[in-house]
Amino acid sequence: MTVAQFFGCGMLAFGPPVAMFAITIATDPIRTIMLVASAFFWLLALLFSSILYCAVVQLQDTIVFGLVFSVLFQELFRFLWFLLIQKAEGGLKKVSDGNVQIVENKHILAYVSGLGFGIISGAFSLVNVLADMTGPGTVGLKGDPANFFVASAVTSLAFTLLHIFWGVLFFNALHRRAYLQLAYVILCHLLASGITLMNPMYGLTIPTVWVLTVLSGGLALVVAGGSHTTLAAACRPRQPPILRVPTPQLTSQDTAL
Amino acid sequence: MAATCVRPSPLTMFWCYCFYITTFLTLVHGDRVMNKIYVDIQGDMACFKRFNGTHEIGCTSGFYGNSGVIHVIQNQSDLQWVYDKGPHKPYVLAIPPQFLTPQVLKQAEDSGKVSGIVVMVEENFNPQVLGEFSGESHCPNSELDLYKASFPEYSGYCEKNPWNPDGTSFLFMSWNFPVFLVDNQTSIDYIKQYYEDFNKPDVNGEPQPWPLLCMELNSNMFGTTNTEVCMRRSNLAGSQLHHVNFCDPLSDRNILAALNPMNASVELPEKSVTVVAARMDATSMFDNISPGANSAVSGLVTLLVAADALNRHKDAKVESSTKNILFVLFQGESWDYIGSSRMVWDMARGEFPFKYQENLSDQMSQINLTHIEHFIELNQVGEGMRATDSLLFLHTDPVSNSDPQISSETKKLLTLLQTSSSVANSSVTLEEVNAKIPLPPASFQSFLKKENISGTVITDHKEGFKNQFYQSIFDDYKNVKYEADGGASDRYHKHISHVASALATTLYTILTDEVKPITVNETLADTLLYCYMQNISCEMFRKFGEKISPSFFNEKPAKMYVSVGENNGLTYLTEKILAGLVGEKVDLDSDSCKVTSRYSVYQLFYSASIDNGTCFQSTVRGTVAQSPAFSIEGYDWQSGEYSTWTESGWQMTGLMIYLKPSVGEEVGLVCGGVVSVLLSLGVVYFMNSRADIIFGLPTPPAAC
Repeated sequence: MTVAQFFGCGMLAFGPPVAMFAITIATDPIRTIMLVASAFFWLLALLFSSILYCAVVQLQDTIVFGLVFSVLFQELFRFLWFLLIQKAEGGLKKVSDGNVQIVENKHILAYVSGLGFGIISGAFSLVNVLADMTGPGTVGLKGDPANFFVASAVTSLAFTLLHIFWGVLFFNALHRRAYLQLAYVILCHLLASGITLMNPMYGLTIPTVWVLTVLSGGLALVVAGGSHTTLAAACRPRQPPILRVPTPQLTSQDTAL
Repeated sequence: MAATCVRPSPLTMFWCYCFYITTFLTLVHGDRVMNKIYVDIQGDMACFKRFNGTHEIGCTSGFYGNSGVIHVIQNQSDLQWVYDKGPHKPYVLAIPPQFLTPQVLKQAEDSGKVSGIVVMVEENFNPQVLGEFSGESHCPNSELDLYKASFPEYSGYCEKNPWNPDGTSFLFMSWNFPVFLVDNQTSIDYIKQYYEDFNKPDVNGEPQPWPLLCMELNSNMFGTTNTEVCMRRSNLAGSQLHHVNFCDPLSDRNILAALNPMNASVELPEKSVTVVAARMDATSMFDNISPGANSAVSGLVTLLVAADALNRHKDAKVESSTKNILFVLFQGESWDYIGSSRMVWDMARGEFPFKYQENLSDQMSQINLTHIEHFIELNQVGEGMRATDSLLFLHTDPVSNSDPQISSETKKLLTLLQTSSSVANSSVTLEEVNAKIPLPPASFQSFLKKENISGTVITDHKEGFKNQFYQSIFDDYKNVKYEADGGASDRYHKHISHVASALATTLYTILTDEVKPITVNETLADTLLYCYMQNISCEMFRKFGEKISPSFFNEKPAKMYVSVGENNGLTYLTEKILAGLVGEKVDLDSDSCKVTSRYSVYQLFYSASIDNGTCFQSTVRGTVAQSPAFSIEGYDWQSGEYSTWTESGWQMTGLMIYLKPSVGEEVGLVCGGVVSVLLSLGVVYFMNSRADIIFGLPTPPAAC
């Protein structure tokens, strides 16, 4: 009967990214292509991490080693992806069919890339767990935490969101040469991944990861031009568009009249 | 998730790695999540379905298996708790063997709260605490009894004086839930420990909350109803789709060996062959366990040891004798005399051991019922051991002995057996049973149905069986009090040897009319007993069975169940061992030591592991042991003339345990998921539509 767990956890973890994809990405072919391409870059990072892991046999038992290098590879490939789209900007302009928004607003591309990274990493971390949920049983027989499935789904969602925010922050940092921001992204990624080594202490790891998510989200909002005032403004009903009729210039003659 | 990363293949490596990247699991080398959820329990001993012409017996699970909350039963009050109080139905009952009775299972079935039963036999379990436990009925094989139809004065004997007083007929009942036997201590410990942790009601008898320990039992049987229906379905489906086995006839091979070669070129005189028979099959309710220590192995080993002894004492007088001995091991006798009825059917239509081959000089001669002089059957001789000697009983058939000629022949045979026993100094007392008492269930009955033959059935019981566990899982080496310790203090193998010695001495006299004590090889008896009853992967079996797949050899008692098909490893092994015992070594290498024709008087068998390669030449051969019912065109399945037993097909049987979460938790999780989806749709839609305000983007140009 634990098909219920499968659907519950699946919707919990993949609901938000799927909603983002459906509403903001799927409507635009360029964005879709960019999302898939960035996801491919994340996969490349995974491939290189795995090669390294295979090569360094003596450190295979040290998870921290694998973790740190995997994080560094991901950030490296995020950088390479950034370089690639910088080069490709001209071409992108040509194919964007007059819709120059994606080229002019750098944050849109950063968001699309981040979502690509997020979806693929979320999928890779959770799909195996999801596959095992479909049977009749749940975790806990051998003393493992009973809330393993929910914890996995919640953590996976946090990492998906984190990847989006890191994407925005990382690209912004490179554009503005704000190296402090760059350092924040890398350190935040290391910290968030590192803290999960404490699992199954979910009481510690999940709040930490989510605090980092909210913090990164706030920063991403700010660098993308938002603030609490713009959010507040957005919450008010939209003003009907004001038609600006050019006011006729008053001449001295008229005033004289 | 992500398989263990200890020795990763590139692919598992890849998965492993993904795992580290988001790092969800604990610090351990995480194996698949599945391994954290499910624990496999030994599940190879399932109760399965069998059919005869009119009925189905045994158990089956649903197609996707049966599952339920485990309740370990220690005493009657635990059962009552399940029926009266247990709120979490369906339950899977984990019972000790004491509770494996028709009453308990009937109650479980009627309660509607039980979806499966697991019988846990712990290592230190003592079967002596059990009451009636034999799976057979009071009158085994009574449907095909010699006396059933024709001799009313004897047919009622068994009902008044049951041959199998401990019989429960359990084997012949049909249950609507799966039943499994578990004897692996680790598996039993898992069940008991997790039951304590999760399911055991508290001191006030209140049930535990979810999550609860559950078990899934998988033993779906393909066949239903009865042999007629099931064979018809197999034939219909088989023509369109391959490999649909709803059911298959129980069948295997009988084994026979003639002491002196029987060549078709020399005419076989009437009444010249003494048949020495034993059966080599036993059965139980469960798959993969049918030790049959007394019901099958005792007679089988006695026959093998006697055949070996007689062969070693084969002198010129024996070889020139006009008489002959035919050793026969019957298969499938537990299931309405499959092997013996087939042999008799073949003999009656003149096709035994095979159809006569024209233009073939080297072939074994045809044997039919009139060639048989005596019939000596060894049937359950294991529990005849007394403090210092052995006591066995000689049963005879009152019907055929009403013929004076047969009667005098029988008398002569019985007297010969008794005197030979003292000649052989074997300390076996052979006591004649009242001649008015009909024969106990025995292969001999199949022969007497067609022809009056003098003969006797040697058993350890005068009236009811001494074997308390006839056709059950506890008819093992402990039941016959065998102690395998190199034979030093063991008396059982000596008992078997003495019986074999008395038998061999008798046979020698039958052949030569001379009296000569025949000594037997006691070490051989001990080895054979050990191999059959305790460890089939013993050295002797491995040597003779070098061509059998290695998976056959585990350190368990032999499975004596007849099973289906004709490639039963144990029958092959027994045939080859008999060939090794009564055959002679010939100087042929592995290439030339090949059987050229299955009709030849001599059959060849090569073993590379005996003395660096040995070729045995013997008269040992197998003949088909399948009920004639399956060979007779348009046989009436309800007629009750021949055995109609078939066994259902099935895929795999298995048991696993796991924790099942509460429904509330599951509903909560799904609701959480739905909320997550709706909330994110709302937020994303909002932010997307107000992106210009939130992020101060230029207003998108209005659509033209």
